[in-house]
Amino acid sequence: MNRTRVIGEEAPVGSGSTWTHRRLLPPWLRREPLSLWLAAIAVAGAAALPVLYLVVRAAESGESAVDSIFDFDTLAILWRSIQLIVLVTLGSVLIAVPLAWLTVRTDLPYRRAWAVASVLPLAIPSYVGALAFISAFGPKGLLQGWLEGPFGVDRLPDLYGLTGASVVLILLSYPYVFLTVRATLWRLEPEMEEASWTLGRSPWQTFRRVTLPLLYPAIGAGALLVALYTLSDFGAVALLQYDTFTRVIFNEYNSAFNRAVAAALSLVLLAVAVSLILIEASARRRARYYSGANAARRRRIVRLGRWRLPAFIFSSLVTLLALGIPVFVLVYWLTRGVNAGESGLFDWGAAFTSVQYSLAAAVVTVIAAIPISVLSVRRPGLLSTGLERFSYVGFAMPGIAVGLGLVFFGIRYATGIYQTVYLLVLAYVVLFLPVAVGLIRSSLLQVNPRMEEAAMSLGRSQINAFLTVTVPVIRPGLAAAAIMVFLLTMKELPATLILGPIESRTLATSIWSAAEEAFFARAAAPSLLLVIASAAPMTFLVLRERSRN
Amino acid sequence: MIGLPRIPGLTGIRRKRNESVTSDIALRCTGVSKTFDGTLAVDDFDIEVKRGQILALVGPSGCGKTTVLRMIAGLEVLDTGRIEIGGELVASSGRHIGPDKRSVGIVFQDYALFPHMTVDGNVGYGLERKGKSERVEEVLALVGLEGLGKRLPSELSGGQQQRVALARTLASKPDVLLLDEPFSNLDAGLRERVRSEIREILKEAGTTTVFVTHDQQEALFMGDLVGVQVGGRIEQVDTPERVFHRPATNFVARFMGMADFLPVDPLGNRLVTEVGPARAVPGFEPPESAPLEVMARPDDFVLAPLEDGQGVVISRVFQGWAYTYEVELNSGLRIHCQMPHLLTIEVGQRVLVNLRRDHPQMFFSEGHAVPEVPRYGQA
Repeated sequence: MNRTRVIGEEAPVGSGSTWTHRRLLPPWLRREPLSLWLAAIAVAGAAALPVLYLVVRAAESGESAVDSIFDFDTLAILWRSIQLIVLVTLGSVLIAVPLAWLTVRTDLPYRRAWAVASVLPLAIPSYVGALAFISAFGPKGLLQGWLEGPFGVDRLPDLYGLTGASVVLILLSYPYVFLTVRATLWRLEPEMEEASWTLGRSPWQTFRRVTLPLLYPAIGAGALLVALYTLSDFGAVALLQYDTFTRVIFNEYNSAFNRAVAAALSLVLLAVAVSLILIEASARRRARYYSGANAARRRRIVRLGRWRLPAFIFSSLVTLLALGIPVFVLVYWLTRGVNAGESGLFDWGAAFTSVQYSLAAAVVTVIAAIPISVLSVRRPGLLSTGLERFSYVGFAMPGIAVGLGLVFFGIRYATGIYQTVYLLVLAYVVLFLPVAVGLIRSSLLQVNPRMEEAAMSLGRSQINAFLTVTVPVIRPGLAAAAIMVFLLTMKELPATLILGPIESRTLATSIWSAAEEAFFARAAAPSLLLVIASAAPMTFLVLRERSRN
Repeated sequence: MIGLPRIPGLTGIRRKRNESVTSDIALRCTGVSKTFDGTLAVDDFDIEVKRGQILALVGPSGCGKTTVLRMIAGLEVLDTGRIEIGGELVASSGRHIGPDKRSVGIVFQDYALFPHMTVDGNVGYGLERKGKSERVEEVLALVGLEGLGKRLPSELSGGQQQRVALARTLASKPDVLLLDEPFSNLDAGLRERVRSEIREILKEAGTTTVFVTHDQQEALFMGDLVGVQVGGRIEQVDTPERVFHRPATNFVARFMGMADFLPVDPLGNRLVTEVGPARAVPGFEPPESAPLEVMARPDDFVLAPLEDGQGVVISRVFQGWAYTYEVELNSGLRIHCQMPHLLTIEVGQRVLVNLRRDHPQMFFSEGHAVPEVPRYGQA
């Protein structure tokens, strides 16, 4: 990132990475244009729309909605969801923390390659991952087929349900913990551990009493992402037939047309998501450590010695399961389909539609994110912070809930855009606004506001100064935000299923319908395309982090 | 925090962990060398510190002094040489006792306090469970932080954080205490006060200390011994006074304070320079054929405005109590002279320069003092 500094009293001391933006302008100049505020309010309002209409819809059915929550197996669903969340989160932490430590702090062979390979499972959409696992380990799957001939195995342990869903989701979501823990390990001052050693503590005691506690906030943040991912996942639990909130909501809406129940359950789902966020936030408040501002210098590399081989096997195994098997299965089906001369293996129309939707979502989301980002960075205050919080709705709200909320809104108030691409793009904006705001905010924080003031003192208007000075500087942030939203939209499934125009097919929905019919060969090509398209920028980001360190 | 509380009964702190060792030398490094990526960071480093002494290692940045500290602590492995602590060999080529097994404490430049532990937790971190809380209280009292035990490091000021770091290290009564640039993170105003406090604490605790700094004033103030290091080697170790007044080499003379060197022409028993005769100790014998120079500090010169003087003032820096003039002599040599502020000489004015003759000067030949000053003084 470009970081420009001027010599002056606002030059940041210590951390030196962000600018504080208070008390720079005299009050009469400090006002942003009203239009910016209005735009920000409109975006925040749009983001709040799905929640609002879920509430309205549930409230309209009055007591019956409340009753349905109690009549229905809500508690059972909640219990199943919690089991899955706990298992997936624990499993992810247990895989990710050792892996992060091995790739940052030890002489594990090929540790840079492992660092990249350990992030890439994020590129695999959950329905593709689940599909690959069913194809590989399910009944009549590849593994069973191979074992049947020589060993006469005609049954494998059952993959469906909690076991399969948690294994697949662990393998797809542990990179969230891996990334947060790795980033903290890089920043950790080596002196912390050295101080502990010189105070007479062994390396193991040092890890347990100093290093690990310092990693708790990172583990917590990563675990929250994993838990929210698990809670909002639809593809994997649906294919693996494990009835969590998302699957039940979708079935109630889609097959049973029981919309009041679907709305009520969506609200419960949202409440669970919000509680997860609150739990993590309160845990973090208790453990708010300062992170080392000094760039870590010489870093001691731990020699694994005779543990080198086990560590290598562990890393290989994780990558083999999380990355190797899905890619292998997809390639296997694709070549089989091609060799069999099957037609329609790749749905170009769906790919084109996907790209169109994703481009639209990327452009609209980034534009929508700018006013909120600018105001929250430049004018921190009650209103701008409130608006920023609203933009985070999509962070807590699973795609299926956003989709349903907008369905109710569309049917009732906006029949004109219901089941058109406009409402669908709105859903994407709500879902991915937090990602865009986060990225744009952090690049804005590194822009010295004095540059804009200099432009204004040279006779430019405020808007002109922003467009000619700030926008070019934050362009990498804007581009990153657009790319991220584009990729997330390409993969998004539940909202697209619910809100997509009738007869329109995207890559995600065509994979989904092929997977539902266990038509693996047809799902293979679009899945591979999605995986490769997401993997490329991810590899780039990880490699860039490496070169920075 | 002025005037530290004297705690009776703290003499226990003087007792060494290893009673059986009778050696008077707490720390001895012999011929220690260390190479990083092909560059020699520490080269044939020798040092001896007696029990209770404070050694200040001073040198320009990049001279390897922090590496020396880290090798003593066991955080770096030396290539060659030996390190003994309390008479026990802790490091030589082929032998490396880990930092957790050495009776050495280190206070890092940025303190490295554990942010997730309270002050009590930090200070008690290296202690056995038995008697821990008493010892924590005792040490916190020693550094003047009674009552702050329940705070988190982030709730303390910079000076307080530093004293917690010191207390944490002192708590387990290390044989040798190492301080790495301990005052560099403090404001200039705070620094002078804190360093005298720390010196008092260290003397009170009777702890053998090696202290690293790049600041000459700090080294002169803190050290019982001052070691000047350059290019990974020790140039001179001696008392602060002798290192300043009797530097062993040209480098030490320049590094410890402003010093100019003037060529000397021995004419019979007179030592003639461009600014008049220099005075030597009785019995001084100039080398037979090597070139000779005299060292002069800025206060060794006397200036007087004079139209046919042998120098011209080319710059003047006002320092309140005095002016420092830079004077270019006819030979082209530039010297620095300090004069009381009562007399103001303009830039461009020709001046007469003379050496004061009220004390004998130091002489150097080919970078070394004449007569030779031992690199390791008998302190």
